Amino acid sequence: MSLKVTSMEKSSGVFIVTPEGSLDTITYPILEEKMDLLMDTSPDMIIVDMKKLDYISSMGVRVIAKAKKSLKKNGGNVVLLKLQPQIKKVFEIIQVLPSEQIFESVKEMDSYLDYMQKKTEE
Amino acid sequence: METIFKQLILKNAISEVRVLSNAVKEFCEENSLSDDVTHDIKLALEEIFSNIVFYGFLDHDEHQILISFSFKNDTLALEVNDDGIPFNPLESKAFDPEIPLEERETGGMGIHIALGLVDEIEYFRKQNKNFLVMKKNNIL
Repeated sequence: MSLKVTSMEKSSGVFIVTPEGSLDTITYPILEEKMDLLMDTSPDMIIVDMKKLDYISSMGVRVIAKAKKSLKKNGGNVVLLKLQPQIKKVFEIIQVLPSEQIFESVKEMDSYLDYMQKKTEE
Repeated sequence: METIFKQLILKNAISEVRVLSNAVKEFCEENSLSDDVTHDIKLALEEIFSNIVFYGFLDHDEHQILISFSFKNDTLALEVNDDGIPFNPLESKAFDPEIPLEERETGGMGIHIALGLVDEIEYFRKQNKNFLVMKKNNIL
């Protein structure tokens, strides 16, 4: 019941953040701190890869909501990738799906990123 | 089938979430409950408990929060009892699902999640205490 967060820059301004373990009432500051650090670089997009995330509480959802709000101000976004069933259930309860950008696979997400890229170039 | 009962006494400190989670896990293992049920009651109790710790007390004194589990046939009842300010989670404000996540008021989200994870919910105030009973049916 701990949380480990890693991040990498996928391409310029696009970061993949991978929380691993339990994002709960006790551990959420670990992700929040990482997100805040990334915010300082004014990223275009943060992809939260949730394949290794086993558990999320409302405090975890808040961290994502806060990052999304902050990024959207500058035209960026936070997208979620590979939610495990129990994580999906939480997002379903708060009726966030399917309006939020949530992707099942890297392929799905990449095609979205390509689309967004083209849209910006137009 | 006899009722299986377990009671926990927690302090109003957020670190107690760990004690609570471990107790839920242990209870579910002892009673061979599924991972799904374990997840749902662990999260529901974490949300309710942390809400009480964050907002339930106006003083800085130590308080006790009692949580009991009773399990009969295929229904699990979770009772949370605290001496904080009156708070009926069933009256907490609903949000508009049309509003994107980042624009919503985040207060009340935990309660909403907890309510969504159980099948029945009952609240009453007795002897200056809040009693919340959450039931999860068909758990076997």
